[in-house]
Amino acid sequence: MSTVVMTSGFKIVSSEELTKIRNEGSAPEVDTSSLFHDDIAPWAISSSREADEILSAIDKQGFSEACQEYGVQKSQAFPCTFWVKVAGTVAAVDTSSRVGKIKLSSGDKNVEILIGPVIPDTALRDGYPEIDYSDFGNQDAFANLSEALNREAISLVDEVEEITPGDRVSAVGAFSTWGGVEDTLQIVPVELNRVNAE
Amino acid sequence: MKMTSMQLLNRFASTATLSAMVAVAGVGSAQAQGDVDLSDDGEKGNIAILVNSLDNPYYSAEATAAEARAEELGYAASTFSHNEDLNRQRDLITSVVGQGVDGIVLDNADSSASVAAVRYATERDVPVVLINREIPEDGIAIAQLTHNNNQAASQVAQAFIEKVGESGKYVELTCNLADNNCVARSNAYHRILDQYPDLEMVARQDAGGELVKARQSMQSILQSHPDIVGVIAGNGPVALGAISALESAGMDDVTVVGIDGSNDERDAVLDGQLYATSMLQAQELARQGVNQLHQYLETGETGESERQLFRSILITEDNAESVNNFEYKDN
Repeated sequence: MSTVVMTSGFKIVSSEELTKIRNEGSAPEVDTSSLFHDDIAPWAISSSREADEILSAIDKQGFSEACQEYGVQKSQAFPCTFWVKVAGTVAAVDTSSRVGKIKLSSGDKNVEILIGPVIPDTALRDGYPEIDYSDFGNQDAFANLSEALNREAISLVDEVEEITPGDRVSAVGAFSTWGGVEDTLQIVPVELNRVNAE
Repeated sequence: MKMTSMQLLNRFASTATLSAMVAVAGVGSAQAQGDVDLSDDGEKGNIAILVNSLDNPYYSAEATAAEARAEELGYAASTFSHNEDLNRQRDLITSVVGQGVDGIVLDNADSSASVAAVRYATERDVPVVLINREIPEDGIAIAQLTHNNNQAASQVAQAFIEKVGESGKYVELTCNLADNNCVARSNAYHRILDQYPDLEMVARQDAGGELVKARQSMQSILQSHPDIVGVIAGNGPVALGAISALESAGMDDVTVVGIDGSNDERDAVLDGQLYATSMLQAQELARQGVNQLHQYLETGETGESERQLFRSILITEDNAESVNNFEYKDN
């Protein structure tokens, strides 16, 4: 196989080579657990609004104005992130995909709390105003931070006693959007509680 | 109507030939003599725009947009191609600085190795705005504007999973691992896909960002792995090369995704050959680069952070009609 590759003018990239390439460059050391628990979560909990209030503002004021008043958008490169409080009865816990979700019966919109093990979202990083791409200087380090913050969110979910349909839960989290909400509000949690477990 | 693999290659060849003619007309004669002539001075001064090969539609769009914006602002603009050759880049920068250029917009030849060339200009009070490719040092260029490659690849990876599901064998063809943007894209792909243990990458090759190499790579990979469900490509030409090889092999049920968003990719999406791509806003990035250089020349500062990311836009059959020459028109 390698002979074919050499004579064809392209090259195979071994896993070792790619790992070396990936590890080039430096990035600031960040204690993501502390960042998540000591900075982002308290700030988000105090800054968050009821989801219905945000959705109503988007409907009435338009997306741009609502984003300016209630959201965080660091530049045109990022979606607008809103920090919301949601509460409702669990309609389903969907783990059929690795993008697991708790689906809530709550208001007009479908609300889904992302629980992992995959969270394909950068809302926690992009919605916290103190985190700036300029402080990182390379895109991989910036992306790694987002992934690490999502792992903290998954750990937070894992610490909650098993949630099943019919439970009542409340959560605070971030949802990001480029232009409003269609059918479903997906949030990445920084706080999750079973209300009826207390 | 779907394009055949030969039509894909022929169209690419036509584009390359045309672009090469443009490069010769605009750049080649001066460079062939080892000299570079700036345009006559504009009302505001003179800006040099240095990009990679003008054969590539991305760089061509970038250069054209930068030049148009500079002229709108009152500058005389001269575009040069370094063809990813560090020596040529150094010679070009030395030459335009020597001729008294007021500022440089540079899509550099190599992220790390271009630091010295940028420093050469700035130490002679010629401000440099970097577009598309960053350098690993801060405080030398006045601005570094780049596409959010992680966002681009992440959204394409998610679209890929939505199409192929969470299991199956796939291939990665990277664009050019000497380019940090390509490395960032590959990393971002894997940041998503590697979280799905039943998605198995059976082969990865660096296709150098080129259609023909990608086609060759794909053809050889298919001999060993005829049962793949998808291909993730590091850029547009590589995706089109993979499609060409799959077409030749009669495999039209393999999902191919890429990143760039050229008109060729747009057409392949509309033809159903390319499932998704992410369009880089090359023209807007270039215009903003010129705007910030202008702001700096006028006021001594850009008013922005040095490092700035630009959003890329996921393109599927639902919105592919909005793509034109790396510009998105959402009507």
